[in-house]
Amino acid sequence: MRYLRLLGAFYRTSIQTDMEYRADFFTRIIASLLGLLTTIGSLSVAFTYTTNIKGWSFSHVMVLLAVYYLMDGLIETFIAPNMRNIMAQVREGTLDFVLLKPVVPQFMATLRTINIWRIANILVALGLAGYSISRLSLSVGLSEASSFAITLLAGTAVVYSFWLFLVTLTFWFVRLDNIEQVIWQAFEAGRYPIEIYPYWLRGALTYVIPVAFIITVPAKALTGQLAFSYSFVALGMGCLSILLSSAFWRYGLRFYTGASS
Amino acid sequence: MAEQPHVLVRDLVKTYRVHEREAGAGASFRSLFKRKYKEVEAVKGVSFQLMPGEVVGFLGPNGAGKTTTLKMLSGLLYPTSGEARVLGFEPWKREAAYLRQLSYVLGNRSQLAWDIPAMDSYLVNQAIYEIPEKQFRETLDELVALLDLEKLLKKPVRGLSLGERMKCELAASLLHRPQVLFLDEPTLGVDVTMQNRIRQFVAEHNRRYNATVLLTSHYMADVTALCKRVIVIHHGKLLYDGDLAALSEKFAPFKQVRLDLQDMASAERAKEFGEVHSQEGTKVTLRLPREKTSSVVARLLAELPVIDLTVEDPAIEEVIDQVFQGVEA
Amino acid sequence: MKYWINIYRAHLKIGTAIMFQYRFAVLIWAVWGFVGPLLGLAVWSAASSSHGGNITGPQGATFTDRDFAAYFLVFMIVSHLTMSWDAFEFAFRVRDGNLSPRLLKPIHPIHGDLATNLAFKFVTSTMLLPIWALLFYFLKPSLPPPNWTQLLAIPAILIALVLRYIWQYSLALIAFWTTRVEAINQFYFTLDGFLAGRIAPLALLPGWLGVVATYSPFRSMGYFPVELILGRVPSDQILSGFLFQVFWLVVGVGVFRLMWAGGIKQYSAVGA
Repeated sequence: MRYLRLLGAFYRTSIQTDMEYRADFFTRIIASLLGLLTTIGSLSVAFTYTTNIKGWSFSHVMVLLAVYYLMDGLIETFIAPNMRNIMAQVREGTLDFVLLKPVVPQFMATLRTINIWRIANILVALGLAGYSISRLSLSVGLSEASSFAITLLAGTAVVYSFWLFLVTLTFWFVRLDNIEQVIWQAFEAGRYPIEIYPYWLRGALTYVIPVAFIITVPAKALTGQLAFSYSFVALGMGCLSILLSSAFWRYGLRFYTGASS
Repeated sequence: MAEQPHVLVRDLVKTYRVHEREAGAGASFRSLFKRKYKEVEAVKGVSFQLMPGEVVGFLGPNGAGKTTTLKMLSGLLYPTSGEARVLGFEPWKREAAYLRQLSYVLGNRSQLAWDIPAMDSYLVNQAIYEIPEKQFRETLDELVALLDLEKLLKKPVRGLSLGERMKCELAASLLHRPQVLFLDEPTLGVDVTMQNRIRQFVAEHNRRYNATVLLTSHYMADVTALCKRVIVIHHGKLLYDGDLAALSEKFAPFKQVRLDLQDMASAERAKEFGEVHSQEGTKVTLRLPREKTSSVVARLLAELPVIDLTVEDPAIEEVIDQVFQGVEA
Repeated sequence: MKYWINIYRAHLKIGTAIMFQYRFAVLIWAVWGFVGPLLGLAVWSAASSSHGGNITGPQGATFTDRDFAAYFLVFMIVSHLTMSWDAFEFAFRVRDGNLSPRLLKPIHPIHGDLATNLAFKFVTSTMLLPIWALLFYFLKPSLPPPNWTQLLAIPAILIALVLRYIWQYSLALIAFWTTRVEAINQFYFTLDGFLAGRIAPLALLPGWLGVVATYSPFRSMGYFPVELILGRVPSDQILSGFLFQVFWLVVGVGVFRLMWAGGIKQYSAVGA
């Protein structure tokens, strides 16, 4: 209860900050649409030469793309701004102030801000999802919707944990801010069906950087290609990843020394 | 309760393991494969106690281990060995109950969010420290009055001057009325008027809430204005713990005698009476051992044409300098 | 001249030392460049294998699996050599005031940054060489037999490097006017990716898209040198390719100078 109130205070101030940059919302929408158009454009370039790529039709790839953008929006709205902050704070030593507060540090560090204008990405993604599902004339029932929601939540948890794990590494290797770019790029692999990749890469994208889990699984849930029971397996994996990464974070905190001794 | 020390430190040690690197691309290339490490002992067994309501100056040159000690006491660093209790808590366990009563102000860093007015950050702090609305308003009003914050609270922090920001920073740190206050260079880079303001303010907070204050500063004026007691560390070791006044007796066992003489010839002669500290024409300042001061002064007055003579203690900066040089030698 | 050589040498030395210091991050950064081209390769080889082994563009350029491999691998290396990330750094510097000390030096900050950029490429290229070799070995690209026109790729890459750098830096200068340039950057990078050939060989773009790509500055920043290496530029178009590069370079320098002058005025007005 107390933590919910805190979360309210955190989000309120960061939304106030963002209100000063209202124009950002429109640049976001534009950037998001442009990114989407580029991807759809490049896919449609490939699809002008063939009607299916490794068994995926254009419309199915679009559903996948929608999930990709949805996840991207969730990450950029809720997770990424905090994780980037932590890396900067470790570098500048201002993480001290987080640790000095009578609040669980992980809570305060990873949920402190919200990048409200990135909601734009989420809106664009939802629009695309609606459009591509109607193109496929699929009916999305309660079980598809709930299994989609569960797998999406589990995917978000995995992304959060993955990022927390990397951020924790900055306690030892101070300058890892660029790593974000890499994850972002690896994450990009998720916008295409995993089947197009060579065998070994498919393994890496499933187990090392679990892009397949984060994007392909919810996309399959949405189009009714996933057994409902599997969504609970996914949920379990999400919880497990949170537990492991939090433990690692707490361990790493012991090695945080601040910017100056 | 009053008998219990607020801060208790026993044999505190902190050793860092740092990666050594030589200059040059070749050396950095070698360090790709083989990293050299060096153990740096930042704090080597420091012990002291602070009683409730005490304001103590924590002195030492750069790299003496002050900040490391403060960071251990505020729970930011795990010590390598040794013990510490602040308000009965072991700091590095970082219990919420402890952190709620503590504030650690770093002069060169900011906890305030850059893009929004300080007031909004205060409201977040209110939620974090669970300060009841009534108490929050009261404390805020006090702080606004004492620090003259009225006009500053509504401006985005990035638009404030360094001094103004420091005032807002201090207020943010004191809203929850901490029992223990660690101030790490609170007046760094702030002009003299503002320094005075901050000092008065710290004294006021100490008086009002009987808070214990441990203060590091490079401005001795901060220390002389606020602290009766000082703790001096150097190279991670405790050098002195006691009255500020007694510090000069122990480390600078001399007095300064300022003379104004009638002519240059007698000024030259005066220099034979003791170590010359400085000279400006016929004005000569001598340094005399404490126990001989009175006899030498008597002789000076008898033998030379003295216009004016004053005896004083050396400036505190000089004493401190003396302390560290004495250790180096 | 000697002055400039000394300055760049000093910066290169420091830059190299710094790069080694942060070798882990630097290497990650460098490997970052792999992802885009490899994704493109994955999509296009999947598409070509679903289409009977090869794809022919509107102008008749044909790509097989191994042609795609060659294209994306060479593209990867060229874009590594010409890449730049200063827009991010610059925005940070303007925001936290770290730009000010740099402005006090009697030399334009772009030189130090360019030298750092070169040091980065020097350090990472040596580290990446074995990885590139492995990729060439495993992906079996079909490369043309060596010939003299391929040597022209060297000046083309150098021009592309400076060209991309100056354009990127001009973009970074927007930070003088707005504190948040991320959206603009993202837009620019997407554009760059699409029109420089990161997503598909420009010869495969259909219709008007192909026309836009032909005349955009991004072609000169990446695609042109790649085509030179792959021997896909007809000999009568080589000269015009270089002219395009020089044209966009001149435009870039002009824009940069204008923006810098205006930006500094803005920066000092706000109070650094």
